[in-house]
Amino acid sequence: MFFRKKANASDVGKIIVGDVTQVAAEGYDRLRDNILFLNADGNKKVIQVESSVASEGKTTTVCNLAVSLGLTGKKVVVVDLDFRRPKVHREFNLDKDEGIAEYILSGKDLSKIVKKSEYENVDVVTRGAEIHNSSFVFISEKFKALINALKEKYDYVLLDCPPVLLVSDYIHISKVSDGVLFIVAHARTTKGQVLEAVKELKKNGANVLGAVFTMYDKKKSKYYRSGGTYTTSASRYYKKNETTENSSEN
Amino acid sequence: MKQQRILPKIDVHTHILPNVDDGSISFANSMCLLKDCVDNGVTDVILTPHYRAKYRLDSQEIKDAFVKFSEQVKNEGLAIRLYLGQEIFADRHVKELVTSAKVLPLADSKYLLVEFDFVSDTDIVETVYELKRLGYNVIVAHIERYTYADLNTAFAVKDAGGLIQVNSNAIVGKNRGGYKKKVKELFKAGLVDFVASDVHVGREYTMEKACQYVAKKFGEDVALDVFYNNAKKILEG
Repeated sequence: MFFRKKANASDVGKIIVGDVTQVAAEGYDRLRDNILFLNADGNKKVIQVESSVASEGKTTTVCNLAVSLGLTGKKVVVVDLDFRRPKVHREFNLDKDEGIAEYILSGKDLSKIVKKSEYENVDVVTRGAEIHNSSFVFISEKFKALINALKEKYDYVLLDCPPVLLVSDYIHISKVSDGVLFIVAHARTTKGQVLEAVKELKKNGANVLGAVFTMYDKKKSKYYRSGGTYTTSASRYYKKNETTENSSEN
Repeated sequence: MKQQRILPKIDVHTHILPNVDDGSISFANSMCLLKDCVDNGVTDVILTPHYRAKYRLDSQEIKDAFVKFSEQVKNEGLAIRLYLGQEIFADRHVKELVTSAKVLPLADSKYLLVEFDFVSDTDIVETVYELKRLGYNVIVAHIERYTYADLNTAFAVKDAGGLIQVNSNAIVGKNRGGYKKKVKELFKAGLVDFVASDVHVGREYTMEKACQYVAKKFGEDVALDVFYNNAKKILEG
């Protein structure tokens, strides 16, 4: 699955699901449909979203996927497990205070750390205060209890995780997730990095559900030149729909 | 040969206030720096002494020093307007420092000049975001000097509501640390909001040289914006 390379870098990190003028929004809806299909038996609710290295579009993908799922009526919670560089709160324009740190380390109640986003059916659990020892948190019974409690309450629990090749948090997170969605930045992350990261995940018993290419660059694609034609056609399709809507308003 | 006209300038980042940080050790030093400013076509200067571990003067002490210095400059009859701010080092306490008014924004505005560790990978965007939520516009000081910050960082800073300042001697000085190349990329991407001197005693004052370069390479409109118009918005509150 490909997402078109951002045409304008200021589109980085934005939630675009629902924006009919954006071709990439269609990509997130397709991802959503694949996730719905994979979870048809209800056993793949807790999805660990990983990448090999940083800046591959993991957080953007998680947040857009959450919104897309929410639009279908599914109840979704996004949990920010990237304790060193938490970003989920920024995507949803929230404060990162009062989150996992307060739940695990200060005994705060779950209801106090779950934040409502502005998107239908999408809640967020942020990191909260700085966490100096992430392993300590991930191996705790409280962390497992948190994930189980969220699993009871939501149709999907999306875990935004730190990169596999940079920190070892994936080892513990894999124990509580139902599967891994692996993000790869097209023509940026090397094949070696991807193979190494997937190998590590599988070695630790993670169930890799599938992969998503982000930041697709058709100029650098050897195999998908026709993808460029498709995205051009898709752009025209969306623009045509916009024109039709505008005409009907007149 | 056609001479480039001297564009007006406002310098938003200077270490000219004497005896409060590593910028100037005497009134005489400071006057020399201010004269350089005037010679470079600068009409307004924001004095931005450091606030960091080594220089933790009380904000009232800084204000008192500013009042005294302003009087002395006025008596010298120099045609320049002075304002006060601080260059705040972003550590884990920065939010608290700002909300408790222990550090000074630029010229009593809602703009903060914030610097980050040059080498240790710091989450610049998070600081910009958090302070923006408190109602402040963060100007990231000399972004070209942070070894871990690249074009993507700059884009993310702007997305989070931050602004970007580069140093004038990163435009026309020696290309230490690849600063020149970085600054050029920032200009090409349209990401620069301010050029300022970050002048300390002993450093060449290069605002006019840098302005001429920017005007020639990127156009006079761009030069006017980054040397004057954007800074004017700070002074106008």
